[in-house]
Amino acid sequence: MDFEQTLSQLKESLFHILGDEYFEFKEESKKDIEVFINDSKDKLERWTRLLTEGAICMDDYEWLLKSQRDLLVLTELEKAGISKIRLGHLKSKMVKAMVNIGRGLFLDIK
Amino acid sequence: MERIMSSQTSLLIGLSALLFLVSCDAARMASYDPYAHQKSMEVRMKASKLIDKSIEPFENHAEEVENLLLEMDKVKTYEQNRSNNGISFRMWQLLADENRFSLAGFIKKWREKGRLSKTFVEESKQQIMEGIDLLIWFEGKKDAESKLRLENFISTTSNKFEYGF
Repeated sequence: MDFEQTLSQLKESLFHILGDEYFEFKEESKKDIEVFINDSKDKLERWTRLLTEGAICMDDYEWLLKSQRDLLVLTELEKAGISKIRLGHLKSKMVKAMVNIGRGLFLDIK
Repeated sequence: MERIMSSQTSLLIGLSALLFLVSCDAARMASYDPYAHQKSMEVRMKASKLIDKSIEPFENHAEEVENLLLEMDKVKTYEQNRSNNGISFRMWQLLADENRFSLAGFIKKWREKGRLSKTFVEESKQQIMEGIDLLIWFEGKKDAESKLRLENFISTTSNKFEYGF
């Protein structure tokens, strides 16, 4: 089986299947689909093989594809959360810096 | 001396302004919550066991399923009511939405089909567990942030006692 060709066909299909609901917090774009394909390549290859071997049905295959999309949504949410935490770290460092400057200023005046 | 004081004061005012900006909602994050962390791990453990049983008829496990759904709903509501916790809540929403393709969606499929194939169960379990792990890992990350905040609070408070500000 030429998996690269299958992937290319799959990519085209995904533009239609995932269409409206793809990444609810991002602008739908071709780039998102490319990222989705690249991040999921190994799984997509395995699921496609399982489908062609008859180990899973089309309904299962579609469910798994959509679960991978939802997993990427969770990953995006988690990444956004980590960015917030990093911003929190920066804030804490700034508080420390301010306290040190304030302490220096206070001792100078004294 | 006055000039030095003036530049130091300006620097302090500048930093305060910057601090105010990053203190806005965008930078706020709920503190680590051991209860939420523990509950998420319990849901993971129960879900893992239950998913393995989905190769059997749904009716045989209907009660266990209802208990798990109820537990998920409780955790989701708990997460919803924690302030500055929008991201964890959204992650739980996805997990508990039967029209999405994670834990609740899997249960819906099991209920509709009656029983699921072993291969599908193995593949979908991996997907669902990855999702729950992201949620648990994220809550754990808040622990490090909470420790840093506490450390900062202690340091600021001790300065207050020592220097009177």
